Amino acid sequence: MSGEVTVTGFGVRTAFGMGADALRRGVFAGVPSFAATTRFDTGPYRTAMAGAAPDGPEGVEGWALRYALARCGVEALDMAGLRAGAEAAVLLGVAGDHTSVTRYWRGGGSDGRCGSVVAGRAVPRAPEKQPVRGASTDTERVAHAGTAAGRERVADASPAADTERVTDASPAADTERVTDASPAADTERVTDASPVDTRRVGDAVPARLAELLAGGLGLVGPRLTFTNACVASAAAIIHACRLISSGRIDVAVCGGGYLVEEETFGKFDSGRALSRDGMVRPFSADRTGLLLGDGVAVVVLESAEHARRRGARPLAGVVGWGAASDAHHIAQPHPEGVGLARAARQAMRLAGDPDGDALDYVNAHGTGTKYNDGAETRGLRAAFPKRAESIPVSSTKSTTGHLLEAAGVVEFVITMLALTDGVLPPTAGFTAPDPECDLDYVPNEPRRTDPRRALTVNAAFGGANTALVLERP
Amino acid sequence: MTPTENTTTRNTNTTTAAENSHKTVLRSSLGVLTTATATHGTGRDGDIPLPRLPGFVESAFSPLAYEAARQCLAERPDGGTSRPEAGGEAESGGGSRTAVALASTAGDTTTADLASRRMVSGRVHNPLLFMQATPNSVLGYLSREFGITGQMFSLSTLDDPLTELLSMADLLLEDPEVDRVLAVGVELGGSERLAAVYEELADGHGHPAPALPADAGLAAAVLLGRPGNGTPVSIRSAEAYDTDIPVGADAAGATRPPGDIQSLFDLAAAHQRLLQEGGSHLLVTGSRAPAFLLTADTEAKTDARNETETHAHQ
Repeated sequence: MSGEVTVTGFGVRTAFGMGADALRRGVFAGVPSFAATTRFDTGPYRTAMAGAAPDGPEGVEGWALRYALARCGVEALDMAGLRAGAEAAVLLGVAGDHTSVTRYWRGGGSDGRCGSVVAGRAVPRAPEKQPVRGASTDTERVAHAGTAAGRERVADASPAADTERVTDASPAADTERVTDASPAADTERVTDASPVDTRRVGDAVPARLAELLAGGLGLVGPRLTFTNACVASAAAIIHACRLISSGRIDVAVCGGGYLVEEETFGKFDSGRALSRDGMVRPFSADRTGLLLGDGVAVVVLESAEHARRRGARPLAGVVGWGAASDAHHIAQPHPEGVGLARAARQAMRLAGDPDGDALDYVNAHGTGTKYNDGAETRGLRAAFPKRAESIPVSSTKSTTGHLLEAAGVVEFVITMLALTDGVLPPTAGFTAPDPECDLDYVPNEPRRTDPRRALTVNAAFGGANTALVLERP
Repeated sequence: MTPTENTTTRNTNTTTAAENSHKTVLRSSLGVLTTATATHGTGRDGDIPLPRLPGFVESAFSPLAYEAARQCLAERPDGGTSRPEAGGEAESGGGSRTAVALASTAGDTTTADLASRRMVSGRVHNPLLFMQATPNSVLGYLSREFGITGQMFSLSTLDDPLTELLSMADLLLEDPEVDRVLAVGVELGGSERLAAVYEELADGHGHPAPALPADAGLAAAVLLGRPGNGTPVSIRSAEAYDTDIPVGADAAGATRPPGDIQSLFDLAAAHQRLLQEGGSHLLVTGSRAPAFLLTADTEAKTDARNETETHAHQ
């Protein structure tokens, strides 16, 4: 056993924009990202709301998943100080790029697959500037949440430390950085990953995205793609932890991505899973459902020994992981949250703290649906019967929306930032307590504290549950 | 790092098989508890009518995955039939110590295409298609039917699914909380979109689309455990089978679609033969790719190499 697993880099993109500071301005300030999306005609659906980044003139094609993954990958490798040619496994949690399926059929199938919608269209790169929704709506909370100390902790942790890079909040600067500045950046490769050719149909295959990411970043090593819905990227991280802790590999680049598109939006609408009031209110009595959101993140996981040898400073340790199934229903969680409790207990046992005595925060799955939130509360109570009520629990889907396959990895990054910044992200949109949901949900306002250990949990269709324990170095 | 070997063909425009030289092979022998296959509409011997699976419609993906898995679990009930008590946690019995991994290249493409075509033609989504849109759904159904509360994963791979699944089982079985891993592979016949996808994935490498009718499908499952304790056949990594077979070709020289599950069928056939006849069997997944040696328990104490027969991709 090589033992410890550490995080040495990350790249993250949500509706708030690219990078950790975008998360601080949105997620950690409790500012929801939801607005009526213009990516597609929402007329047929019960809602138009989503946590989608504002569109550029080219529409959703400008946010091809392969490109977003590549940008986050470059950021993550840059922060970790890894270069092209590094030996690293690439493990993704994605469902493939659904827009390619829609485009194919909208274009008329084999007779015109480049047809009416996208034929001959030269799609430019992603927009240079992305306004950050909500960034200036509550400056006080933003300042409170995005502490300088936290920023420094993250910035300092990178061997390729570039404080400006981390603290500079300009989305435009992000774009420039990714395209030309990072040591890992192979400009041609990243350019190749840009959404120039919207006729591609192969991106619908999830494994293809892992191949593209690995190839674009110039990484050498095994690749594997997890497709198990809302735990997919958490499963990728867990697999990476196992590979590293067993000594099979030293470095893994793990990621996940989902970008709001009509195909999935329509499916969730048909399942009546989307919120009716345009907000996501996890654990609140008046919650009416979830909203989808953009989320892409890539993290670099590494054996502690390997990181030490090459002088990389760990951002956080991953000290426990677990996964379990409900054996209950194909689309509903077990009402008692038994699978989630089991996954959490596994993770805490591995972390050497089976009762959660040292646990300071839980980033919940917290979808804002009737089914999930009560079950999750009972699951957490079952996992930590002695002290569930004293552990702060929040759902950051209240600001980002549900990121589906990317939920695990984006919430992993958020949980890590909570540890490094000393700020717990709130559960936004919380209006009224629900007797079914009776824990401390950090309602509406971020909370300054000094957490050392945190748990992030996810659940998915089919009753799959995952849990990861992070620790501040 | 453990010793690594080249693996099966690479099918994208970003890498080649030679570049992918770091696949993990098996550290330990695995016990093959049982195997099963299910085919529908393929023209093969043994094709079955599509099993009815409540809540799953239109696509062969979930019914065939379930059928292959069901056969394995029914044959070896210690693989997880301890249905949890209502409200209980089912922490005892085989189900809690059984993990499941399901591999396919592109998932349930039939469902994906149906949903997309409905949407672009202006019709509302069918909620049932929503329910079965992810491979997790059939795993959830399976877990409920057989009381499996262990870990479940669904995977997409362009490589050899058998290699990926065995590697995952090898890793999972190092966890003292896991005793069995049910590995399932599924492959569907191609819609015209899928043909276009494979054409793009081939990118000059000459790999074909699956040669299956559009409504056809294949599934194979293998229940794995640690060797011994009633596992009459074991499987371990063998020396890489290095021949002049072109990259991406099988022993007969034919190219295969990326991610096809023929090697799982080969494993199932070899397992059945070894149960009847004993001996050993070298299973080759591709040129300069991982090879696996299956050995019947009765032969375990002999020099397996002397007894080895090669039946690469029968």
